[in-house]
Amino acid sequence: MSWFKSAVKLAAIWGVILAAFVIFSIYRDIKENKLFNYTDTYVSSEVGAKSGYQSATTFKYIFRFTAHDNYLGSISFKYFRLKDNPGQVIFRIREANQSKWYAENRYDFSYFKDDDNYHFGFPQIADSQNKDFILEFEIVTPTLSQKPNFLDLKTVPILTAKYVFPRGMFYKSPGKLATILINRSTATIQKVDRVKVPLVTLAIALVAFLILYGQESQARSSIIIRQKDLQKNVQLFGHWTNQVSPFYVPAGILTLLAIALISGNFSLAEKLAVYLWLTLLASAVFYVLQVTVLHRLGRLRDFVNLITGNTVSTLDYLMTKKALLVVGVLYVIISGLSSTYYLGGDDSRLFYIYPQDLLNNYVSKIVSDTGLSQLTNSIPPSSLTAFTVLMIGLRRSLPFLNLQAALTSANIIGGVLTFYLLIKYLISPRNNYERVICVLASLMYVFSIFNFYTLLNSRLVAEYLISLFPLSLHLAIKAVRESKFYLLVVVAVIWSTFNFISVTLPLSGAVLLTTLPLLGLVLWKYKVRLVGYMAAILFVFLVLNIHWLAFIPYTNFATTQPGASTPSITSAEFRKQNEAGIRTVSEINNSFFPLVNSYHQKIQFNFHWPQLPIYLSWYSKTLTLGYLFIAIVIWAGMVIDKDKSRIPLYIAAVANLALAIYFFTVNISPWGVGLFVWLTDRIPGFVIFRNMYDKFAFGLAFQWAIIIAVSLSILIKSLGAERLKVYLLFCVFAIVAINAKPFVLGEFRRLPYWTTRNSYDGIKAFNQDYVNLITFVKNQDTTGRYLSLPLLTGNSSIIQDDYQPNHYYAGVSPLLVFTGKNDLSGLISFSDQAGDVYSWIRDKDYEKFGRLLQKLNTKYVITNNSISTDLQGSFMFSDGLFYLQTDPFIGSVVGPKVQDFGRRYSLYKIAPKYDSEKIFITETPGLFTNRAQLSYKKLASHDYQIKISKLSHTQTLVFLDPYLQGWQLRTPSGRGVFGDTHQVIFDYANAWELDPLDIKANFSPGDFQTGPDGSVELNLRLYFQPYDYYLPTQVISASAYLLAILFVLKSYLRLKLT
Amino acid sequence: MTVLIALITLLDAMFLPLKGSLTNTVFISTVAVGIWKVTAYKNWYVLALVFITMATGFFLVENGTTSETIVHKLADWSYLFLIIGTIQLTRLSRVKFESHLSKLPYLLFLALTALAAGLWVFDRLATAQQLMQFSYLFIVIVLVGYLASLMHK
Repeated sequence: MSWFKSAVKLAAIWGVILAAFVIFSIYRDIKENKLFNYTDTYVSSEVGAKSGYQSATTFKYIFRFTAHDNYLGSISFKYFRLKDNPGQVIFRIREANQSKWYAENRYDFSYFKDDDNYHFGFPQIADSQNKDFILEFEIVTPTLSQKPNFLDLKTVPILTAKYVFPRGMFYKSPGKLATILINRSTATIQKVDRVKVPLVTLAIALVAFLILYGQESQARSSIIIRQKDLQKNVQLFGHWTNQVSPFYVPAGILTLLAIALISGNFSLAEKLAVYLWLTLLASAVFYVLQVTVLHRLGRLRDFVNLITGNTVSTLDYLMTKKALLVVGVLYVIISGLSSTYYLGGDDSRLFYIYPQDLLNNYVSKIVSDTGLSQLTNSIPPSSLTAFTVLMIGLRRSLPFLNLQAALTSANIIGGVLTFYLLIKYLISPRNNYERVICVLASLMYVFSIFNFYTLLNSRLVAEYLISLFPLSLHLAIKAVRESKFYLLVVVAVIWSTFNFISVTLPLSGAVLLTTLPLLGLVLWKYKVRLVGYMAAILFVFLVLNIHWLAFIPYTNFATTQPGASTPSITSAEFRKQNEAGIRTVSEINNSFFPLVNSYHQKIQFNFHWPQLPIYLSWYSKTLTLGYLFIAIVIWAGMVIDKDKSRIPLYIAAVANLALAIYFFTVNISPWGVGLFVWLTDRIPGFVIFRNMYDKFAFGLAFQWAIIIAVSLSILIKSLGAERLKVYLLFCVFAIVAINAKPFVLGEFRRLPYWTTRNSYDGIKAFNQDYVNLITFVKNQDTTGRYLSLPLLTGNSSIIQDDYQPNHYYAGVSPLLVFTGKNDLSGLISFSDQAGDVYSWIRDKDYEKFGRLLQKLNTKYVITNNSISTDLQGSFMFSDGLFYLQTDPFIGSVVGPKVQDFGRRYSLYKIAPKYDSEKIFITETPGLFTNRAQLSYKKLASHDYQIKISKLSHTQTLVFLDPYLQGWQLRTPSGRGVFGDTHQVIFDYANAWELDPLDIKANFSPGDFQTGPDGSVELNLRLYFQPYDYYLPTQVISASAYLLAILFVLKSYLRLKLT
Repeated sequence: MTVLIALITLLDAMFLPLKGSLTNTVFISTVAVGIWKVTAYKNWYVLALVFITMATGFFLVENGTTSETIVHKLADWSYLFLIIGTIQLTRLSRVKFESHLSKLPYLLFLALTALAAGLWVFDRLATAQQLMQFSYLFIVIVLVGYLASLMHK
């Protein structure tokens, strides 16, 4: 029955933890909402709502609802667009059966500027329960638009009421207080996550059970504090707790006093009398302490020993159990059942849900629309091919899983496991303590603040470095040392698939750079083999990635493309900008913070990082605990002569850490910044590390974990007493757990977007209006671009969740992925003219903006009418960009409306005067003419068919796509023509001079016809010549992947069989 | 010598700014003389521990920009002492385990440092700074080379 007892104990612990969580949640809710202000919500079915015009400047919303309780005191709505125009709100409330308004207040729109959740208050209505009320929300503004959209009538809840009870009422009617408490508790419990909370608390309960009853329940506990060690504690405390009576001291003074009195020394007796009273008082206090605290120190000490010993044993015990692997897999699957996706950001993360769309509309392109909502890109989209194909495979084989959540969980668990295997391989644990050290280092590595702030926060593909970097390092070292080349091929496949050598290179390169000392140490003996392997693996990398490397010359990475927003990284201009940037960023860095295993502080303050609330509430308070880590490292150096075999590893690990801290901080010693600038100037490609606080953060997490593992293993050997070893390991575990707390409890996930107060990441589905919009756009027959309004600062879009009104997709515009049609969604979309666009909008010079749209072949305008007030003032619309985009601005660029998509989106044609064709022919370069003498058809992004008629004199053929030399005009017989007249037009696009005399003289007779008036009629093909390499390079890379996998399997099986 | 270095660097941390001629002088001379004369690696580790402890203490009672600079400089010195201690440990390990020590790398480092100091005295700051950067890199290369050879002692 021991298992039954254990189960009961486990259930009891779980129950206590759950109860504590619920009580804490209720307490926090009451604290936040105040006890006497009882908030209640109304869904749309409980509220009658209608709206309508009262005049040209007045619009009115009318609500009817029944109060749920007495003392109705205020009402709030979900509103937007109240602060971008001049105007007033009139709020009125009355009982439905009364004609006179109970309260009426006026508010200027500017009143709502800093409050998105304003409660319209009025004197409490004591007997409001079950009464019907009429509310009026009247908008009076001279700039009332055609389709006013001030209140969100589809939001849940549609309105929120607050009942403000007089305090005295609770004394008179405690039952009321109890009712409110019960209601609020019920509401809080209903809000609790039904999957995560039970799972997390069960996991904590299991660990607590093992810690408390590990030894008792016969579980393997290999690390036990010996009795001899315990005895020392007993001797230390026992004397003070049991044997010393505090009253011995006043008794002694009393004896002396008696002697003084008897001997007639009254002055001494007088002094002793004072001391007698003082010592009596002190003894009394000590006695109380002895009885209440000191007497129990023995038990306290036993408890501390039990906890520390069992914790350390449990860590060792858990890692030896295969069951843990099963739990890990279950955790991944359960995580995968989540319905929330964290989409957006710099890479959209759409590959988790729409990998096929991404492949079809973006990844498979090498020219034209190679940048999401941008003209050009730095890396060919085809670099994402392998990863996207992998996602397609996973999506099809595991359609029921939330791929993002499942892979993120797998990454975290995988990170612990792969780092554990790596560090175990490096330090070869000699006893249980060293095994525990490996576990601690693995936990410290994954649950590091440096990972929380960067990889796990951005959720880019780079986050998989957490699990795949230790794995790759482990495999690579084994490959060279054990002469297993196939392991290196595995690494090449992993790094190529997960883009560690393309988009993620700044992070993977940074961690590799800081690991060089360790690699030098472990591979030096095999240097000849290493050189051979490196040459071979470079070739493998080349063939695996040739499908995108071949197209780098046509990106902004290699050469500055006309119209690109940033100069090429090889240009002098870029270097100059870069140096200024490095100096600005690094001069506020301070080596103290990474030395105590914490993130730089000042950069968070200066730029108001989104993580700042967590940093202030938690990390800044626990920061000095990190002192233990650096102390362990230095202390290990001082006692290293007791473990000489580890000297090389220790030196390598310190060198790794020193490099990581330097590169992460840069501003170390008087010349630290200068050295970094020098490196970026002298070493080709080093500029990719220019945002050092971000790029080297992961490297620092990795190197800290390595050095702590090595240092602890040295220290443990030097420590004699078992209890000290256990205490030390427990302290390290405690600090790791303290650092992990905000991440484990999901505090990072709950952070609102930077500079917003109530807008969050994480959506369940795109709202239906957006889905309808993209379906419509997808089926439109156009080769032009779309303009998304309001423009954001970045090339981004904000798309509301279908279920949670304040949750959004916020990131790079996904229109191209979904529809194959690109848009201009933000200032950055306009590349080198971003600054001009802002100035034009600010100065109301809309004509210039319209002309730019024309040059960029903008055909349609999408307006998003549902940007919340919280987002309007956020960094997404920096420098007040949202408020500058007034109705006159929008009106200046839109033409006839095509269609509305719900209340959120409207699609317009571009204003007719700014209309342009993708390909057109003109007599005057720089002028737009929509002549009927040219027609074209888009066959693919790299291929257009053009038909020109009546070409009687030299004219310019314009192609509104970023200029690239690879674009060629070809005759039907396939001959390239007019190549010598190919030039840049409109500062970014392509143009060719077409001379009919040249055609007549040089073209084959079958390639053109001459009309009766002598004009020429011909068909041309506009083709991107480098596309000729597309298929061959794809085939080479695909074959290389296949061969690599076959080679690995064959090598592995052969080794296994022999 | 260790005590002298501790005192000089402590004064530097307490009273000198993050950058400047005097700061550069203290930096060059302390690092160069330290590497040359203080070969006992434990002394460097003790200094590193003392300085990071002081930095932590100052951080806890921090109350302004001055204190921030002190914390920064103390941490910088602690970091440098840790590196120098490790370099000396590397050197010692080679002596012990291989009975062989090439002084050439150290002499080169010291020569470069001395040259940089000389240039600085003669107001050739830019060249001195570049030379010192070379010297930094050189030390890193030496360290990596030692590590590699140590593995197979």
